[in-house]
Amino acid sequence: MKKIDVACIIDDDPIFVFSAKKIMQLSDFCNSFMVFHNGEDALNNLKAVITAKEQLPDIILLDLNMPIMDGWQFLDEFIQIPCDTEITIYIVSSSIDPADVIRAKTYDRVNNYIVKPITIERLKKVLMEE
Amino acid sequence: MNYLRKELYELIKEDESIFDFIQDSALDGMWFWDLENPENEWMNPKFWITLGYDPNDMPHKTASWQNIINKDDLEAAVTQVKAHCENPSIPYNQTVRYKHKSGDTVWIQCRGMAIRNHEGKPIRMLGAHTDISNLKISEINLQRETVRFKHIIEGTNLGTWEWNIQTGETIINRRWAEIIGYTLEELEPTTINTRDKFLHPDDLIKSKQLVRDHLNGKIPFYECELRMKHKSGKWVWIADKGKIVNWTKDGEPRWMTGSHLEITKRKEHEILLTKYKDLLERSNEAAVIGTWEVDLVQNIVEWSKVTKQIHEVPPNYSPEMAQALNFYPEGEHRDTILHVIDEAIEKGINYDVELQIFTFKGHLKWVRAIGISEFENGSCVRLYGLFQDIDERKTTSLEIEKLSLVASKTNNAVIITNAAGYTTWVNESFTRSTGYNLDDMLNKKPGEILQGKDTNPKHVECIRKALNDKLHVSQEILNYKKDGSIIWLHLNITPVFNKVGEVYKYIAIENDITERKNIEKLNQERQTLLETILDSIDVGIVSCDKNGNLTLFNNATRDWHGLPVQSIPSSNLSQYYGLFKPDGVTPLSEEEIPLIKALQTGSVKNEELVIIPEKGIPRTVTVNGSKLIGEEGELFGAVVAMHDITKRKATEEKLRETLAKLEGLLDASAYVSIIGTNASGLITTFNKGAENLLGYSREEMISHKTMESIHLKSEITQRSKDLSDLLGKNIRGFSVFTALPNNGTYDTREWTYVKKDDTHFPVQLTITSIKDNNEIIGYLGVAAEISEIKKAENEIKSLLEVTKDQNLRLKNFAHIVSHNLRSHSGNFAMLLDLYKRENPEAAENEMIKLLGTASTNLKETIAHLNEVVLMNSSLKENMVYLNLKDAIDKAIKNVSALAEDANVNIQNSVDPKINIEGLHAYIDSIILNLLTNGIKYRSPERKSFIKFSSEVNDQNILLKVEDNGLGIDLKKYGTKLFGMYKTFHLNKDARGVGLFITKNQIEAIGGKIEVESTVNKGTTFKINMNYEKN
Repeated sequence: MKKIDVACIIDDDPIFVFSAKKIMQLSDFCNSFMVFHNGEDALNNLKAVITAKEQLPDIILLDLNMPIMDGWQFLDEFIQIPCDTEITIYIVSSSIDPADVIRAKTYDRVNNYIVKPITIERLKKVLMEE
Repeated sequence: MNYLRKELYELIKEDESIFDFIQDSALDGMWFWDLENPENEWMNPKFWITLGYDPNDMPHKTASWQNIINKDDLEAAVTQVKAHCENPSIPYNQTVRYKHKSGDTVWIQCRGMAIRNHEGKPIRMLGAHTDISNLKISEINLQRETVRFKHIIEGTNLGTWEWNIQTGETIINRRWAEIIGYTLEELEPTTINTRDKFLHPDDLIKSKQLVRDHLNGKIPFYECELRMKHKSGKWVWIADKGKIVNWTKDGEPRWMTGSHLEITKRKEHEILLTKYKDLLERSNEAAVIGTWEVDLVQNIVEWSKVTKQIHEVPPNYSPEMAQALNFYPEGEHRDTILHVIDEAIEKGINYDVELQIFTFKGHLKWVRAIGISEFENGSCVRLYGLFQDIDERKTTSLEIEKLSLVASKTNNAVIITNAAGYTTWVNESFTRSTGYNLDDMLNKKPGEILQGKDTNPKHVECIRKALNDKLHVSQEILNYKKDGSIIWLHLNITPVFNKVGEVYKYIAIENDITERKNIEKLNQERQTLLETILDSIDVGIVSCDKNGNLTLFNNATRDWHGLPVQSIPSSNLSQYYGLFKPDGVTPLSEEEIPLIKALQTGSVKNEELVIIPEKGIPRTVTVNGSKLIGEEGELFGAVVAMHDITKRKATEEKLRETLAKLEGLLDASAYVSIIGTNASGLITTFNKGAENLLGYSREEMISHKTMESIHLKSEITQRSKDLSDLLGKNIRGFSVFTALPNNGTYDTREWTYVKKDDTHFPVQLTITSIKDNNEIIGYLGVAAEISEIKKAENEIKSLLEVTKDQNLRLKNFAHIVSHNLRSHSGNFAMLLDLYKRENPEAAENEMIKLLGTASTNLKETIAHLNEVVLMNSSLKENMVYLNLKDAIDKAIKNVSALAEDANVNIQNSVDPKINIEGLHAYIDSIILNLLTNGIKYRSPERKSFIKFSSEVNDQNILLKVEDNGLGIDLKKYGTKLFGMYKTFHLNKDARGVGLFITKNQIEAIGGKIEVESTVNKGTTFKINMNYEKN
């Protein structure tokens, strides 16, 4: 398992954010986090990072159900932004609606669909597959 | 009658001065003019006859004479009328020229007087015409004559003289003096000696003697050729003529006048005359002018070469007086020549006439004959003259004359005949309409060619008579064209008179009226057709004139009454013809008889009456009729048509009887509407139930309304469309109810009835036909109100709506479960996991353990709920066929560890060929559930087993899952077995969701689950599922 530098969590649920950070810290998953509470927030900030050529996250854990701009909207906007760095995007959602899973597969940039809750084991397993 | 004529007659009666005025002035025409409506003017027949027109053709309008009045005279007349109207003291009296129909000018003395109302305003004008043409013509002729003489005198260079025998006063003219080279002034004062002084002495004696002879009455006039001395000294020859023109009271001659003609040249050239005579003959020859001479003394006739040529006689022909006249055709021409020769011989009047001769070779040609008589001693001794062939010129000019006559009649056929009736000319239009040209007709009598076998001899006679009497005749006659076809002509034959009042030709103008005649004939035929129709229909037709006298009585009516038509007073009609009211007892009063009623009130509609003839059968008839109005709005009678409805009446009676039998039943059904109609839809029965349901009373409906009146129009229209499509023919109106019953079936369907208060309610209506001897005489419609049923149906519908709504909410719920609940539960699990990792010692804490269990249970419950919800949203089209045995084996494998632990033996004896219809996930879930159930509820008291087996039948397969476990008390729990969250065991794992889900999943794939169970013996689940056939 390679060591990840920056992980980005886009989720409006503070409990999930807290838990996810904790899990990743425990498993020594990454060095630092970027956290955004909705798609728009994330998009604007990531755009700025790209423009400023600062360090981008290596992976993004993206929730689908969010206020203001949801996960799908974020994806639609984000994949339009030209970016040299490859960012691995995981959709992490509590939705087990098959329609969502199928839709996720239509995005090339989305690596996997993780159904909440995540556990250390599952996280490790997913990353191992990379 | 024209209103003006009426008015005028009234006026004449009232006012004597008007009568006198008319008597005095209105010899040749009278008019009465409406000054308030100046376009209207009444003219009496004489007015038009004077002008040559047929009074019947001329409308009483001012416009009808405006084209034939002289324009200048019209202008003058307008001014004069105006003046007369403004000032009565200025009379209206004027000479006006009109153009006669023949083209001649007619001079009319026109006098008029304005008729004034009490305010003195002229409102009418009465006019009178006197034909003064003859007077006018004489006047003109006199004027012309005077002028002519003056011109002659001047033109002939005559010197004139007047001598008063008593006083010797002598007057001479300028020319008299000029002849002998003097001016008049040089000779003045003139006396009788003025003449004598210039006379040759020899001639003086001779002249004086002749004058004496004349004065003594020996000779009728004085005439002498004498010589007078010219101023230049030479002698000039004078032809001196004179006559006493005036006598004294005593009878003594007073004035003698005479003339001097210088004949010096003649005298000088008399010698040359013989030579010139020869020359003349030659030049005449060149000009085709012949000469002739009759020596009356010796009775010798001489014709020059050219004269002979004109007569087409041989050169050696020697004519005689009597023979010469035979060349002129009998009649007009022969008469004329005889007349003028007579005048020439008797009175010395020379003549110059244009006449026709028949030449020796029989050609008819026009000639000009000039005759001069020569007198010796007061009697004619010689007649001589010229003879010229003018046939070509004459023919041309006659043609022009004829053409001018017919110029305005180009569309009419024209024939001209001579006095004897032989055709001399026809126009193009004649040829166009009859096919005969001039060559066909020339010198033939038109009647002989044109008339044929169907020509009415009366018409021919009428024409012949008029022509004999030399009268204008107007007649319609059937003629034949050259091709033999019939042509109807309207002839107008006018005789044309010559100067001496003899007819010299007839002009016939012919109008082709064949078309009109054909129409007349057609009308006649139509009339016959109509009468035939009237007599052949079984509808009685009777008409009467405006006084109620019968004018028509067709066959049908005659048959019914069995009586001849008689003119009987309308008050007796009822009795005579046996007319009764519908009750068949009360006779109709006069004004109740439909014909009389129609005459008096204008129309009758559907009146019913009974005819009971003396002999024959009584009949009920319905009568329709109306009065008859002429073109001018006047009533001229009435007509009625009667339909025999005796049979229909009988049928209706029968129907009523049939329905009466049902009466009890009908009224018993107080809430079932039973409505009977006759064959045409009119309601005949209306039961209590119908009254209750529809709100109409029986009286309102029976015989007044139809079935359609209680139905919703839109439904009838829709049904009409549906039935028309169904039966392939147009079904409309009442037929929508009867189309199916007519075919022998009854027709039951839902309709909407419309109540009297216009509210609607649904009914189930059955319509059947009522038959009498296989003939449909009516219909019966039985309807039950189905409002309640409808209401229930509507409730079901709304429930369905609610269910749909619920379903939708359920889907939303699925979403909530799927996402929101899951995320919370996920968070719990994550947090607990993290907590345990960070605090490993807490894992032993009882509370944390229980919290862990609660979290896991929550997660599972949500998973179950999700499954339940998803199930309903699954789609039929996702169904596939899958092998049942394989699916069971797979599930057994999955639970093998569990089964081993629990020591349960699982057997699968399902037929490996069976493929069932379903969803993978469901089948897996169903089998797994049943397996785990069987394991969970095994009996600890015996060796447990679970057996899968299958049975196949036609429709589906039966999967049996049998165990020997704890069993379920079905009496206690049977109804709740497959409910949600029902558990029937104290098993700690039981959560009561499994069977609920299983049942639902089985039903979702079209299957069914049943259970048999005995407590402590075991349970068998029987699952029916669809399978793949073949």
